[in-house]
Amino acid sequence: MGSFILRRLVQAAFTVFGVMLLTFVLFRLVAGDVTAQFVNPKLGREARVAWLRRHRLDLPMVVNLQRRLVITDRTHGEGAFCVADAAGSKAAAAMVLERADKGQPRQDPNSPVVSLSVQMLSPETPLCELTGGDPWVAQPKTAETRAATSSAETHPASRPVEPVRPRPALAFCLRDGGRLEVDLSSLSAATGKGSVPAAAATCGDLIRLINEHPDNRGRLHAAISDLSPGNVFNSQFLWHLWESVTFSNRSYKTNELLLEVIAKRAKYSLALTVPMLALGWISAMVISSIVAYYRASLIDKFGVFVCVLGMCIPYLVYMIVGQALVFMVAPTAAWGLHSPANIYVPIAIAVIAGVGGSVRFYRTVILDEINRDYVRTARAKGVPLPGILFKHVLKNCMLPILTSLVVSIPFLVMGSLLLERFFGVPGLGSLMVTSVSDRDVPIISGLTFLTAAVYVLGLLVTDVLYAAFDPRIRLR
Amino acid sequence: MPQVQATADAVDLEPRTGRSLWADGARRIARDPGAIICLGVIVAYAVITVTVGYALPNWTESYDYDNINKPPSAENWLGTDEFGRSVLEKTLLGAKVSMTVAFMANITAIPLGIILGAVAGYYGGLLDDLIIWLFTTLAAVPGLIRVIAIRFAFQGVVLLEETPFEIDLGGMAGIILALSITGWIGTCRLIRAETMKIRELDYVTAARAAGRSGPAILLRHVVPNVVHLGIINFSLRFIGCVGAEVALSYLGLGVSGVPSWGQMINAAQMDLVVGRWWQITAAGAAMFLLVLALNIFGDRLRDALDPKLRTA
Repeated sequence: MGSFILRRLVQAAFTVFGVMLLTFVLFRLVAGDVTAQFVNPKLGREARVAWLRRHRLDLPMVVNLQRRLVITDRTHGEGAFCVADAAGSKAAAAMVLERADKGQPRQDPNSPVVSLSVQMLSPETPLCELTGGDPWVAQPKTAETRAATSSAETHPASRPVEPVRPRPALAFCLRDGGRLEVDLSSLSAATGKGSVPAAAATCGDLIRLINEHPDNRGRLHAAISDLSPGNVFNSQFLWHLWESVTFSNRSYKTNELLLEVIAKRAKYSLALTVPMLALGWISAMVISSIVAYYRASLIDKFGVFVCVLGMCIPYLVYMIVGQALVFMVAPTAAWGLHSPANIYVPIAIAVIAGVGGSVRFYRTVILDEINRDYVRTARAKGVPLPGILFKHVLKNCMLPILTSLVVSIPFLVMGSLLLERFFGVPGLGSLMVTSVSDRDVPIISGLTFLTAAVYVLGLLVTDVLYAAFDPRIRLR
Repeated sequence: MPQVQATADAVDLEPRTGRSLWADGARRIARDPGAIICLGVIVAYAVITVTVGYALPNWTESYDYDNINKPPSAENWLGTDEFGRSVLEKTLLGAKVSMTVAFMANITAIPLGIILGAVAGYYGGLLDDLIIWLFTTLAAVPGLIRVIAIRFAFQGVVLLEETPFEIDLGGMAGIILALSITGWIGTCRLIRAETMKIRELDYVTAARAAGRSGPAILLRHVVPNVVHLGIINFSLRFIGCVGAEVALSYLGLGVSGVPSWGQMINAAQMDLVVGRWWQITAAGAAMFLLVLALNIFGDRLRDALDPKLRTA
């Protein structure tokens, strides 16, 4: 018994891990970049980087081999070390150069200026990987053209004035009060978007340019950081596992914690699904028992016929026609939860829509059991038929029937996707549907994992209970 | 092997009364008028699927703003939609989407399930564990959520971009992919269990003793004896795929730009309140008939092909 439980536990753990892997592959690797949906591209690279960092999407997928450019100030003084852009340049913003302790309450005076972390950064890495394709001098389009046209109108004879082109440059304020301006023109190339790092320019060139600057004299030191072994697993995958297990995903849209969302919405889903499953189960059991009792008679044939017809009508048709009928009788009950009693409308519709399939399945299970030897023996002994049916047969049918109930447990938490959305029940199912249309990936991923985890847990508990109560399972 | 030859000859001397599984199944189906009618309905839907694209090439542009939202009449048997287009033709075109999606999803999923199930059941060991892990993982995410998740993830993916074989997974191919990834699980489970039983049978042991290799035994002796389970599943899985297409349409993850039953049924949420019942009725009835035919035919097929599963 102990080894059986242990084996099932290990199996369940593997399955849960598999689901996390599945959600990771689907939502991180396949679904791709959704940043543009949530951060306005006009806000520029810094806003995008900040958003990525908040959702830990700046980390590498699986293995963290990130390094970054570190520029340290070797002077001593009272001032604060910082980097800024020289007039007209956007190089520091494009490379997102900032103090390593930016945003922290207590700032360390020796804290260096760092660039973004880039996977496998080396002196040979092209500079454009650091800038992410952003120009470091924007094309001064409007000013230039305006100057050209105005000069052409007012002074047709005069030569067009050569506008002063801003140069890409980094301005470092050193702690000793000095200022060091590093001109990046030698690493630049002009394109339609403005001045960008030349294709041949590498990080090594930039480091050399800073370290060998004539005014530097050892005051400023640029280098590429070392790999820290403890950081290797600081990756999106590890965070995905952690967030899945703790349900600490944050919505891209509202930044709400998934756990809080679940706490807020699960009660509506439960209010819908618990009565739905219970009523559905009871009605299906009663009807299938009656049908099986009168097996091979007209009642049985008619019942099965109606069940098959009911099964074949699409679920959405039940919902739409049901809602339209309710709307004609009581318009306020057709949508939303203005009064709590409205919840019974979707419950009734779900029970009616689902009863056909369940009755047919339960009937097969019961009939399989009725044809067994022990039933024949009981009848030969003279046990009355109701006694056989409800005492012996029903008890033995419970195994497949309970299994079919466990399969519907995830929907207990999740609510019915279609029904909730359709009848305005603010549960988790309708959240899932809204998240799909909003492309709110963490919520979809978290809810998918939630249903899978509940399902695996449910199966585990039933398996263990079966094994405890039914020796046939244990010995198999 | 002279002995084997001799016994085979001896069997040949006896009168031939036995039939193969397939001949027996075909005979049982042919004798069953219900199954024949259902098969006829399914074939009719298949014919519609293949021909409707050629018969009604310009339906989408056949606007008629003088006759919008007309109830059924002698001219338009099933009425017209919000652009004055014939609902009858729309329903026929909708069959194309549903049937194509369900057929393509099954034609990839069922063979995959048969192969993986047979391999897992026959070889056992680590390979079996791996395949079990794969399908329990996929099966742990329940039905519709699984389909939605896969469909959602592949929405922006385009395979073989800028080649003649470009596949846009945001369209119908994505639905087919989502349904195929999830569709092989049931078949695989069933086939695996059956293969494990067959593996222990004498004729497989005999083949192994005669020195046949594993893949040869699988292909010649195991798969032919389980493939009928896949075919039974084919017709029953079809129903699930047709239903899933409608649900995906409702969630905005369906096929866009092409008339489908899902869209017609969803449009009715607003239509029914103002008394326009003909679109949902047409799409619902078309779907009902198909699902009913598939259900009954699937049951009869199971009874005909799998003596062990015959229902009471």
